[in-house]
Amino acid sequence: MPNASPAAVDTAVHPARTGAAIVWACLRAEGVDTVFGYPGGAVIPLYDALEGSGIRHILTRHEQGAAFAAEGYARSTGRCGVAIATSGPGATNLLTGIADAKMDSVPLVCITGQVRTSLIGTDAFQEIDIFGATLPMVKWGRLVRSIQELPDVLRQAFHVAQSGRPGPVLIDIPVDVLKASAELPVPGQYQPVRTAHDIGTPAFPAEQLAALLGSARKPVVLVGAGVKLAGAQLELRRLLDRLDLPACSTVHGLGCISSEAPYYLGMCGMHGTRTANTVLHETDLLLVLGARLDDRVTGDPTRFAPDARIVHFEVDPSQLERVRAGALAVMGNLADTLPQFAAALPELPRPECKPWRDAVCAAAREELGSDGGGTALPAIRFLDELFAMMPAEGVVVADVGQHQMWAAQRYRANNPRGFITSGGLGAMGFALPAALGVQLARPEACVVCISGDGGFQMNIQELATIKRFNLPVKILIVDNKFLGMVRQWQQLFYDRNYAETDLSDNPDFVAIGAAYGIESERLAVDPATATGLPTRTGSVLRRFLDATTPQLLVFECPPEANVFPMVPSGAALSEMLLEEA
Amino acid sequence: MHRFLIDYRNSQGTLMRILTAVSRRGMDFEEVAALPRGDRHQVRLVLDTHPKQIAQLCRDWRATVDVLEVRHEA
Repeated sequence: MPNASPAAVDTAVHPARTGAAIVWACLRAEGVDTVFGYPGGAVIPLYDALEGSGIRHILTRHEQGAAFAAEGYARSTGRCGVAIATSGPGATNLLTGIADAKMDSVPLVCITGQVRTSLIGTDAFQEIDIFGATLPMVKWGRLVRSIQELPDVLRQAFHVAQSGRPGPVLIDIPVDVLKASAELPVPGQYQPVRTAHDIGTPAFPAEQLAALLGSARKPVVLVGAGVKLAGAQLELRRLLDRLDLPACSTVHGLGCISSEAPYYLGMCGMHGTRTANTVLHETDLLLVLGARLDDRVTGDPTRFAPDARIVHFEVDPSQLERVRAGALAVMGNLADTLPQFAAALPELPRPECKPWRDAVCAAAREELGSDGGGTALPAIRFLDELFAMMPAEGVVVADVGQHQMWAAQRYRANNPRGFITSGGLGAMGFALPAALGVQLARPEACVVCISGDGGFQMNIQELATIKRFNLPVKILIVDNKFLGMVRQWQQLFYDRNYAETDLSDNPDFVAIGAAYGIESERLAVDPATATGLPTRTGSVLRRFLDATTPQLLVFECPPEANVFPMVPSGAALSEMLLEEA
Repeated sequence: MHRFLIDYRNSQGTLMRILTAVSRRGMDFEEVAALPRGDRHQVRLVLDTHPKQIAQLCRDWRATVDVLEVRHEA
């Protein structure tokens, strides 16, 4: 049974409902209005009870698409995403999405059907131990054993998924539980109980922070996803304006800091700006706000910020000192600790660092404002033109690869949920289904899905979902006919041995888009123009962005184009490559 | 060798998550014993670990849902 405090005796009369109806009622009670899923034998009873549930179900064309779409919904709103799949292969198809949600702290509740209780453990048709398979990649899971457990389990599922550091939860429901009937209260009676991982809000360590700030000469702030997960971007911006220290962002922190702020250094890490990486290497005091210091950010962790004392603002105790010893941990939700920091500011010493701060901020402004001059790649120029034409509150959903890093480097997101990508897991095929989830969550927004030709084909079937619901997603394929990022590594580190990265036999994506009933167009690099872009690029992009129906645009560009700066794997941030040798 | 005592609520999967925190690091279990202890359960693990792993494991366990207390004994 769920580990709940004893509930008061419930004397109310509840209607007799099937387990399936109870599931939908519980989801409604949690504020769910949209779920993503794909039916199958073990969940037919659930789908049979869908009508009249008050919940919109989005039928995707693959369960992985459902998981990524639910993630897109959650990432763009902060609300819990819900994905439903049947037993066996339906459940296993959710795994990549679940792992992605775990790595990027996305609140996700996955509901899977299971074979009937009497068959569990017999290797029945479409039976898989999905509870066991997901043990390492969910915050919590449950194989429901009786209809009586359902309300409490579902209440606990949503609580766990959304509390502390958000993450995925899996609820596995045998088909006989869905068919059973009982008179049960909805929502469930589960009440959270304090455990070892509940940190509360300890007293703010102002005195220790004062000592560190007072002695710092090269302080820098690093902002991560924790700010947006806490909904603390306004508090952050106010604090940074008052601190007036150089500040950089991880890929998941993009949009938390205003790109116009004079102290903004850009993105840091493997493909971060030269200025941000240099400052991180030279800093003597690093204030980490809601970032977990992933290896893509630190480079070689043993040589990351070698002279820095680290102050780590974090909600998940497992992330403290994971890669580097810290000088001070400020535990708690940033929604609480940032205001505490701001309140303490008048009593805190300000680091004496003006000449250094002015110099690095000036270098950053020059680097961020540069268009690369005459050496800018056509793909980068194209993305620059696209981003310049996007509305201020647009959302970019990027897949994984070179296009992702170019987009992260060039897009000036205005809000923390304006740039969405698979960061920690780096799952190709993420963007197309995630974008449809974002569009459903934010029907008024301009949602641009940017994918490479490799990743686009991994969930290409979700074009059908986009078309069915006429979602005005703008799908851009940066088509260089290679697995570009892998090719880059092969070029730089494996003597151009392009093993198994050639996609020159790609199908005609424009014809595929048209076959799905989606308006599709192609642009290709024009070497005759100064920019390498066709003269009609502006008009094509205008039509693309203004359309109220789904759009597909293929931009064909040369394959041997690389993302720089680049910190080679295992290298320190100071060893970044700035251009090809 | 290091001994770890982890108190937890015996909910589905909690013991398995405690153990996978070890196995995912390619470490072997020298000793595992899990027993009820009052109104909770306790697992005793004996592992051959180095200092950095000790801190990492303890942090992972404390972050696991339904883990109540983690103690380390050298």
